Parts: sequence; structure tokens; C-alpha cells
Amino acid sequence: MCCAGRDSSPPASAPPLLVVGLGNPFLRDDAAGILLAREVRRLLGGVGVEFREAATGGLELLELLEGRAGAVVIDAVLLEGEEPGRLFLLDLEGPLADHFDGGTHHLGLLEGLELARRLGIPMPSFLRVYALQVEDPFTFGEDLTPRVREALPRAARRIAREIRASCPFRISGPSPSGPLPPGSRRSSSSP
Amino acid sequence: MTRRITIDPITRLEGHGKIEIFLDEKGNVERAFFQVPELRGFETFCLGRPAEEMARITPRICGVCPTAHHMASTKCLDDLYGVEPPRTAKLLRELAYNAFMFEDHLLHFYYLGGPDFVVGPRAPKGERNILGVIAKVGLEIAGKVISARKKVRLMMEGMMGKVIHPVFGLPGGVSKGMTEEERKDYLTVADEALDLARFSLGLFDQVVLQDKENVGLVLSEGYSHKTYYMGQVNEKNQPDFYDGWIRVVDPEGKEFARFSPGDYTEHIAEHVEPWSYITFPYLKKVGWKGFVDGKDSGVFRVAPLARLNASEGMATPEAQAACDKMYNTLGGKPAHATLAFHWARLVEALQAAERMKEILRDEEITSPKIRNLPQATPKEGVGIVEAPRGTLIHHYFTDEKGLLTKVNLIVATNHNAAPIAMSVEKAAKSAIRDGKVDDGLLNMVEMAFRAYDPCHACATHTLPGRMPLVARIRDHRGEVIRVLRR
Repeated sequence: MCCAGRDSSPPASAPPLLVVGLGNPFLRDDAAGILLAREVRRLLGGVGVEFREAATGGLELLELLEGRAGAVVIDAVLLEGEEPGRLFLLDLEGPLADHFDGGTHHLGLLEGLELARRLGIPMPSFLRVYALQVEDPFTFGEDLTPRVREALPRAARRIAREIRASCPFRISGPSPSGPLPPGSRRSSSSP
Repeated sequence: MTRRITIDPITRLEGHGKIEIFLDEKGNVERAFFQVPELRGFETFCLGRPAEEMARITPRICGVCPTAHHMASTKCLDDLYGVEPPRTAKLLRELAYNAFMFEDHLLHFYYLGGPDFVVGPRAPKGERNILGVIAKVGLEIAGKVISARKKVRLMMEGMMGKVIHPVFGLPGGVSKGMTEEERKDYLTVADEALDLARFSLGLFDQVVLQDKENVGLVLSEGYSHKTYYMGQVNEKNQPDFYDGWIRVVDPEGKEFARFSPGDYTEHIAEHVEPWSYITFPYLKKVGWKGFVDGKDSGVFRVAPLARLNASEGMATPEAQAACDKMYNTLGGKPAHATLAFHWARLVEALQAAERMKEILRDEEITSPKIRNLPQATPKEGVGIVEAPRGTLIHHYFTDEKGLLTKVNLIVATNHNAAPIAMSVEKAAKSAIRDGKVDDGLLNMVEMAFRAYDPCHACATHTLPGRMPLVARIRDHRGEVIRVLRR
């Protein structure tokens, strides 16, 4: 391997669509993005789609997205006054956050996309960012809170359905009744 | 149909940074606190798990400095299992760690702290970010920063398996050695890192030091605290990010303590306040005297400027020259200017890049002797590294099977928690007089705490990309009289 002359762009043979689950599997609901991505993976199947799990946003996320034809990012969010389990789609045309208040150490996604645009770094032409409203992303633990756990299968089906409907690339057919991928946990609630 | 939203910038997963400011009867600041959301239950989460899992679990505490947690944990496991790694393993760890320090420091300068200076402390808020930096320094330089950082991270990935969640350190060694081909490749990466570190100090000189207003701001009393300083040093008392002794100097720069990591509890105690989950470490032998500076207060600072204050010169030649220049400008050593942490950060990045080259030129780096197997029964271990934002302590206790019975982690932002509170209070005092609140309050407070590069909760997410600040100003009866938000 040579990193001096190598860039981190995906190989030419990479599937056209990348699905990234973001979060921390040890921080209760913080894992929601990762678990949702695993379930979406099960629903979409593997052809034409690559799935990744990541723990961070900012430049690291940009590096994951660089050179991809299409990408879907799935994260957790904690919005004031919203019900846990509600699924949101980020408006990527929204206003640019004007600063990194509080020393968050990370670049916001919108700022990152703007940075990439100015630097000529190729970003996906098809990009969607989903976020599931969570309840407790601050306590260490490997279990979701009940309402988030209950909402997970429905949210995953919705994401998978919307990807199929809007993704400009060919991806494989569904396998809705197949087993969950290794390491994922099946929700105890009915879909 | 999924609801489409624009994320409101005052909401985010990490929650709000809350500032509580209490005024006296005359309307002047009596006390100010800075609070951030805390992660809960880490110790409980760890208990009963095999200790060797900690090197993989603790990097997940934080998406920002996982390498620091991984390395502190790995060193703690060495101590716990009573095993000394071979020299090659130590070199490999130190190399990976210096690469991490380099890229993290550079990221902070260009993306987080630097905009305040490069774009200007009084520039409109919307311009004080990386995009504003690009507008000032040009696209070519921005591309150079991104390229060098990416190559350093690829090198880290090659050495440690993953950058964010390394699978590298093992009790007594590392999981992977280095080939001659890799060594040659990494040397070119180190060269590029060194060039960028030199360039960045040049940029700091050009943009910050040539601007009298900027220099005045750095040296201003409003951003100064005369505290003790702590940092890890080598046998020559030079900064060592990976290993060594912990050295503390007093506010006049005299050595106050020098101790091995395992003795930290003899020197550091933790104060608790009812309004915060964060503990406030202080020097045991001086004592807790409240949120005040001076020789009689046990409050100490960590992170770049503190490390340089606590050392006797740098470990590499170019960094030494840069360090001399810094102290000449700041009026000697120790320097107490909080905003000079940004400058010290670049001096440290230069040392990290030089050290990367030194290590890669060591013939033993490609030796296959990368691990000694642990033989001892585990009981207790301590591991310390210098994280980019300050001294990081891991302390584990286990039963005879190696299952964790007690865990104590003191992270850099813990050490700096009291100084951050003091800096916030000082900034608030300069912005609030006789009940009149300067609208620049949040800017001043923000600059004060960003110099420490504090790590608030876990920045593992991308939505949205900022932590809002909320400042509540209360009168002498405790009633909220004004709320400022961003």
C-alpha cells in the first residue's frame, strides 16, 4: 500500500450507491443510525449498494463520500419538541451553519459539501441524509430506548422504499423476509 | 412521505452549551459557569468486561480523539499486565501517535481555532470558519492542508487498521509491524507533514503576528490566567506526547512536581460542584481554593501551551526554534496567555512531524519484534498519554481473571474544566458592566474556551454541524434577566 501517492477515492468497481450508518454502538440511541443502516441493508440487498458504518461526521464523512456516484447517510438526531422515533430527511439546500460553535471538532455536513464544491472534490450527485429522532444518546449501553426500538423497522422500510423510488442507479431487489445481518438486533415490536 | 426539514441550528444531538452568569446587586458579574451535556454511565458499562477490551471500547467514547484513548488504554494494559513492550513496538506506537497529534492539531488550527485569527476576531460570524479561511489564504493552500492530512490519516490507517477505531495496541506490543516498503512510503508522508507544519507556522506569523491588533488580543489581560501547568515529558524534560513522566510547574515556571504515571493519585485530586457532572481536578498538595488562579490555588492547566510551559525546551530542533520565538514574543516562560494555546499547538505540530521523521529513520522500526506476551496476573494499571487537548489518564482495576472491577478516566477537558470556567467568567466580566450586556459576549466567551480545544461529549454525528450557545444572565436574586442564544 502506498499512501504518499494514493488517494482515498473508491475503486472504479465500487457499487454506485453508498449507505452510511453513523453513530456510536455503545451509547444507547446513538446507535440508531448504524442499526437503521443494517436493516436497510437487509431490505435492499447487496447488489449495487455498499454499506459502511462510521463513528464520525466532518472531514471523515466527506472522505467516505468522495468520488461516490450516490450516497445515503443515516444518523440520529435530538430535536427539541419532537417525538422519539420520528424520521427526518435533511434539507441539503438549507442555510449554511455559520460556525463551529463550541469547538465541536467537526465540520458540519453542509459546510463540508460547500468546502468540497469549492475545492473541486467530487461529491455524490445523489445524496440523501436521514435522521431518526432519538431519546437518550448520552448514556452508555447497548440497548435502545423503547420508542426508538419500536420505530426502527418502520423507519428502515421507509428509507429503503424512498431509496428505491428516487435512486437513479440500479440496485438489487428486496429481501424483506431474510435474516438480519450479523451483529444487528431485531426490534421486539411489530412493524 | 418523510417530512423534510431544515435543521434548526439551536438543536443538535450534543445539546446546548449553557453559560450561566450571575450578577451582583450592582449588575456586575459575580460568577459564571459553562456547562455542557455529559455522557453517563461509562464506568458501569465497563465493569465486568475483560480489561483488554478497553483499548477497543474507549476510542468509542469520543469520535474526536480515539487514538489518544486507544493509546492511553494500551499503555494502561501494559501496566496492568506488567509487561514491557519491545523497543520496536514502542517506536511504532510513538510514530502512530505523533501522526495523530500532527493531523489533529492542524485540523484545529485551520478549521476550529484558526478562523478567529486568520479571518479575524472581529470578522462577521458567517465568515469565521474554514470557508472564510479559504477566502483569505486561497484554494491552493486549503487543498494542500486537506491532501497532507489525508495522507497522514492513510498512514495511520495502514499502521493501525482503522483511524477512528484502531486495532493496533495490545498489552506488551502492537498487532502489526512495518515493512521496509512502508517505511519508505511513510517517510514521504512525514516530509509532506513537516512542510505543512512549517508553512502553518509561517502563516501564523504572517497573519497573526504581523497584525498588532491580533497580538494585542493574544497578550491581553482579559485572556490570561497565572496557573500551574502540567504535561508529559521525556528524560530531558522535553514534551513527549506518548510516554514519560508528568511534570508540573508553578505560575513562575519553577518545577513543582515530577512523577511517574502510576503516582498520579498522590498529586491530583478531583473537586466536585453541584452544578456540573464534570469533576475539577486540582493539585492535591496545593489544595482546592475555588475557581481562582495564582500560586495558592491548586488549579492547573493542560494542553499545548501548558505542555510547553511544563517542559524545558522542545524535543526536536525546528520546534525548539519555533518555541523560542513564541516565548520571546509572549514575554518569557511560562506564558499565561490563553489565546497563545493556538500558537503552541502549531509548535507542537512541528515537533510531531519532525519526530515522525526521526522515528522512521530508526533502523529498528522494521524489526519483527513487536510484542512481548503478558505473563503476570493483572490487578491495577495506569496509562497516560498527552492527548491533543491535554493529559489523558486511564486507570483500571481488575480481579485475578482480568475482569474490570473499577475504572477511572480523567480526560483533558476535565483537567481544564476549572480554567475554562475561569476564562468564561473573565470574558463575561469584560462584556457585562453595571447591568449592561455587550452583544459581543458570546464571541468573547467562545474564543476563551475554544483556545483549550475542549472536547464536549462525543462529536460522533453530522447533524447539524454546530453546538449552539445559550447564555442565561441572572440578577442577584437568581432571576433570569436576559437570554442570549446562538
